Amino acid sequence: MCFRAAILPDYSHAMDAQVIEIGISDSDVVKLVPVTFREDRGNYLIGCSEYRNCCSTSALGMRAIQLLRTGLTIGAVRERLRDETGAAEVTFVPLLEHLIALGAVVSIGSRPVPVPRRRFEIALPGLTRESAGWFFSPAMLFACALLLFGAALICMMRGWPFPGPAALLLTAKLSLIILVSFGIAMANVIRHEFAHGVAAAYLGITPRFRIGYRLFFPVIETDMTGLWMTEKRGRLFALWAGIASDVFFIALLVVCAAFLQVLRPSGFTALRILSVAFFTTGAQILWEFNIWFRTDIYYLIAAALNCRNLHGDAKEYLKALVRGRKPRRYFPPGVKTYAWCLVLGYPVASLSFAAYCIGVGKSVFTSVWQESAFHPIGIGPTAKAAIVAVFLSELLLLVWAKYSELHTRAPSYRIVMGASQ
Amino acid sequence: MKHDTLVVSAETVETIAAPATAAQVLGLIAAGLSLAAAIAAVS
Repeated sequence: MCFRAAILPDYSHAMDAQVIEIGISDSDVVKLVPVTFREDRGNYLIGCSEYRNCCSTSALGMRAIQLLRTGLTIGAVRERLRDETGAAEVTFVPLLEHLIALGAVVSIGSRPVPVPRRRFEIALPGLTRESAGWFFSPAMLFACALLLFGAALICMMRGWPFPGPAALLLTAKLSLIILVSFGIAMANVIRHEFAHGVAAAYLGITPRFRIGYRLFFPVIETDMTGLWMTEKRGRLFALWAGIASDVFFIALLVVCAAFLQVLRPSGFTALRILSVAFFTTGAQILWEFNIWFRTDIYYLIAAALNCRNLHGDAKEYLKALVRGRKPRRYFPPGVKTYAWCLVLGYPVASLSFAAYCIGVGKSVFTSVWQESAFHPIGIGPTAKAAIVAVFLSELLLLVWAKYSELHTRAPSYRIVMGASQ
Repeated sequence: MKHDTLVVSAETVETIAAPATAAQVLGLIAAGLSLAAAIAAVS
């Protein structure tokens, strides 16, 4: 009888990284970091290192971890598992390798286990469950509801308060538009991620913020992997928080624009800045629908389908199809649907963004080198400097994210039985 | 009766890292410049 096929940790991202061999023997005791667990449809989710990493294992894997935590040696744990299952032999080496890769093993015997390097991250110590609770107090929720209701009422009574996008660009100084757009976009990103962080902290998860990238888009991302340790409702709540804060921000802009029109009908510059904020925020919400880049909407789909490795499973399913083999394990319909979305969507998204990048680059460099063509809207040295500054900022973030990823590429671990060092 | 070897393993659980980007501002710049180019060409 084979309990389940060995599914090794996904080291595909570390093919050229260092391979660390760890020798163990039956007399070794494995010391683990504090772990928590949650039962999920017959399997167990294991949260390691304050929920920073999670893995999933079978009931037998959970039993092995429980026995290891009691201080039994590897040999004694194997003996107990053999007795309990009636199997001729039990090996949990793949489980140990996985736990080491997650950073859940402190030492084996008297030898400390190397801890995987982590990317540069920012945690906010003041962001606790208690402090986050303020954002979800009845008064705050009432204020948000009132804001949404007020914005909807204004749109119904007075119409849409913002001028169209063309009005933004015909009369404004281009440099102002560029810098304001970029400043608002960056502030939006921070607000959006902070909203995720607050929601995660409210659920007892410690959020960590870092710079990453998707394709060639530098991003700020909030690591909330510990959400797997919560119920589906909690996961959806934390994942919706970012887009929800975008929507509340747009509602606030609508209310501000309406007040501005009443109080200062001639205040066109201020209204234009509010319009830039609206268009920038709208673009940011739309970007989240690029599920192939593992955006908020992607994680929402994964959480709704209860797929803990949707992207990886879909790729495994597609690889099996391409090789003409029957998949070695069962994939739920959601994984198969996402796999086909990946096939159709990723090339479309990649080509669109490549065209977008070429279009943006061409326009910017044309403007920089052929200044005379843009005199009607006054593109001068300030506008040129603004364009270059924005591009350089994005480029620097991208380079930092890539460097950080390469620098902290995880090594793979291989356990050698009977070779205790 | 004793039988096969049981292999106990674990499965990968994906990291949840919700992203947001400010790169769309480049789209606004592109739109602005395209519009400006169109106006310059017409006038």
